[in-house]
Amino acid sequence: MKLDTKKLALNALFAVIALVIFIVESQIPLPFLAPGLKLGLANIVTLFVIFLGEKWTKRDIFLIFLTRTLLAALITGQATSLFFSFTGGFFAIVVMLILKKLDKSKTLPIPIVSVSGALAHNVGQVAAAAVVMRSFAVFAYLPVLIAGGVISGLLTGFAVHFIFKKRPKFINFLTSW
Amino acid sequence: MNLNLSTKREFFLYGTVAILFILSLTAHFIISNLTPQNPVAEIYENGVLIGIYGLENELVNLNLDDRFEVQNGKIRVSYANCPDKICVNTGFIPNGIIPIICIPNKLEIRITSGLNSNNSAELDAIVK
Repeated sequence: MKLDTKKLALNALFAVIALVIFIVESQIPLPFLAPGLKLGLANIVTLFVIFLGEKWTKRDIFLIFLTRTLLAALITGQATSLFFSFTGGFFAIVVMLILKKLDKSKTLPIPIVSVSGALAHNVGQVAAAAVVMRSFAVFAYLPVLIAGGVISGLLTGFAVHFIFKKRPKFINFLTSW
Repeated sequence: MNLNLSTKREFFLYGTVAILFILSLTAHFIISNLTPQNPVAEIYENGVLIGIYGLENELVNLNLDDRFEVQNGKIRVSYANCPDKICVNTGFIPNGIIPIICIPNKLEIRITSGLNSNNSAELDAIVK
């Protein structure tokens, strides 16, 4: 399992694109609704790579995700959020990969996979918070985080859906060499 | 609306998502409006109760970096030294189900219906 040069460069590029989206999103002031609730637009990149096809494996997806969260934590300087980004993101990617694997006919809409991932992300984070806080009280935030996960999952899902529907030329560049 | 919603399966899937959204919003609305009787604020650090406060007092001062403010039967974190300020942004909480959480400082503020006789003695002791 060696990482060829083009793949390595592209993985790095994806990680940086996700990082830029993350930073831009963090500069957009949104009303505070619940702890940890945000759009999560950087997941557009994760979702896009998941649906790119066989050339892009589980390893690439996790590599891009880990690089992005690590760099994001270094830039924002929030060490505690790193743990929650990891648990949430890990749950989300695992759920999305399982769904994609189960969907043999490849007809499952991207937004549905994305919503499932977003929900797994939020449930994972609340569970992690319960462990860290040694308290079940945090589960009171679950309903609003589920509602938020549906919205953000649909947004990122449709973003990726429309990219693949339009099928810009760079997708050929990314899937064949 | 031409978002590939043509097939029955997709309609079912998006319908489920919509129902989930409505149910969770309803659940959130319901638990946001539950109010315990004789509410008191309990402050936990690391899962351990470190203070109980009645919600009529003006200001709360524990030996912590965080500052709390009580107003009209509600409590909020008015200052915190953590980087994300999620606890401050949560604002006032009026009820017992939804807590204020500060993950970096492992601090939790919960409102419970406090006043049986035992509890109020403890409350006085801690407030003093």
